[in-house]
Amino acid sequence: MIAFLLSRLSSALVVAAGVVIVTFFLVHLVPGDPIDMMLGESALPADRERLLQAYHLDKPLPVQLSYYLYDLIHFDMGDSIVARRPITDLLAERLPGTGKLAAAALLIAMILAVPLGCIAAIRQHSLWDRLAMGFSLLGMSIPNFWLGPLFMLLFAFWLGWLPVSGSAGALSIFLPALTLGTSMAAIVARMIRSTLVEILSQAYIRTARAKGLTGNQVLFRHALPNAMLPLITLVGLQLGALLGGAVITETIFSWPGIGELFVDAILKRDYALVQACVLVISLSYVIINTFTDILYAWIDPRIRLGT
Amino acid sequence: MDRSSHSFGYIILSFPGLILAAWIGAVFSSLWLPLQPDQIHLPFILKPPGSAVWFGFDDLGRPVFDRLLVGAKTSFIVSFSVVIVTAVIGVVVGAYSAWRDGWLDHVIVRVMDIVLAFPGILLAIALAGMLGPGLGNVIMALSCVGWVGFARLTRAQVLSLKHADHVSAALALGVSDTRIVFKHLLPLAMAPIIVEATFGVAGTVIAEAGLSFLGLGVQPPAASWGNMIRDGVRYMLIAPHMVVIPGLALCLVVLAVNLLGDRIRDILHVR
Repeated sequence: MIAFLLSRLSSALVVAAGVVIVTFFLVHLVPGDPIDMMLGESALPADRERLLQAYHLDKPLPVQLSYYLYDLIHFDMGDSIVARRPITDLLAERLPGTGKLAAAALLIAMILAVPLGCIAAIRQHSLWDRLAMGFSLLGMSIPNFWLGPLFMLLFAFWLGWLPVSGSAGALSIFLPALTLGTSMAAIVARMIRSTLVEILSQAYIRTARAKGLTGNQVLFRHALPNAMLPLITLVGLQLGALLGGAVITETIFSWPGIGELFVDAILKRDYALVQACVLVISLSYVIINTFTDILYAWIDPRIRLGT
Repeated sequence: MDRSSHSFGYIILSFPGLILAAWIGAVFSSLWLPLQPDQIHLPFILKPPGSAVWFGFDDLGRPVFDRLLVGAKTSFIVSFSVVIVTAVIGVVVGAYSAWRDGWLDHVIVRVMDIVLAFPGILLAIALAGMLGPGLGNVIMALSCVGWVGFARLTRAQVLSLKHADHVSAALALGVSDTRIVFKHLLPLAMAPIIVEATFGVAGTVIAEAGLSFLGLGVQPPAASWGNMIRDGVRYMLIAPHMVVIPGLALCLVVLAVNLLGDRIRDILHVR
């Protein structure tokens, strides 16, 4: 287990280092001079100079990179030129928002996907199976930026049940979480179905049935526990993907999370903030994935003892 | 053989076939329809769909139908160029990486891991945001991210095939590396790559619309389904057709391409 842990952590570190370098180079993709793009044409020379210094853009590339890494290690990501506040403060304010949204979306996804996947697998090729898989295909084909507005129309305008956007009431998390959760449920339901179908054809399930267990006992005691393993990996991957999906969903519902901050920063050309958001979101993704792998290995000895 | 030709017939005369035919028809519609996507009709601002005008008008009084057709062209151009570019780059990189092995393979695998460390469309959004809006930059941003899927798939395929007997035989006969890869490995690896490319078209259509929805894609007045939805959200309460119609077009195309992908996967017997 220690060997597995070390190899998994070291490869995560390499990837994280790569992510840091890619985000560093992002600002160099801006066509022309990033400083001019941020300040506009009527900028005072003094402001220009100050920003040039702050971004270290007057130095050669390797020196810039070393400054960037040095600041990063000290949790200093510079100031947002729009909000005129330290970027780390902004991120700290927004992180809980995204975390809450992701957790709520995950909950909704599981509530939808587990029963759907189970019914589809148990009653394979039945009408229920077709309906569940139809829902799944539909969920995968409807992008969040259309599903979100449709839910708003349905729940907030036509039915008048829910607040449209912002984070005023406790209920306001429901629509963005439902939007994110539905697309995740579509993928998870399909995965649960195919895993369960495979498990249900195993000999030990036949034995369990032969000794007279009821359908529910077979499902909950023999089939589902074995389906948990692939599910953990999938949920880990999907939780990370939620972070990517949250960018668009947060923007639709003006949910105060990192994703909304990120898109806003792009539109306002606040490049340091863009870099910081990309970095935080992808590093969280790397951490979640690494943690999922370790959890998986901890649960399943075949993984950690195998290769 | 008979079965598969029957299946290809199914593709053309079915829901996905009809939707895709409509999509391609829309792409070339400017050739035979007098489209006026930017023509402003002030009396018709936010006019809902009616018998006289299909699909109504938008917030500036532009015909939604005409803009929908122009949007179809945008999504078609972006998705096909991105998928062609990324498939070629990915297949070449993946095949070379697997065939050559050694340090280069390690480096390429690391690079792919790093690109995949950015969840979903995040990196594409960041790239498009930094490069600035425009059709070319959208294609560039999506291509920078998209090649990895093809490269990983091709690499896995070539790795599993490179020790096959016919490859050893070709090596023993002194066939050149390039020839082995292109004549003896890639043809066998093609089926899953074709399936991946089909799903890639669906994914890219969504990604392009997503970028345009965020205001990072095609710039107004040019039309994309994504920026039509974006414009529509502001007037959703009074003119829901502005959101519903482009979204429906987008979903139908994506659904059709996904169904087509499923079908091709069955026909080609890919896992």
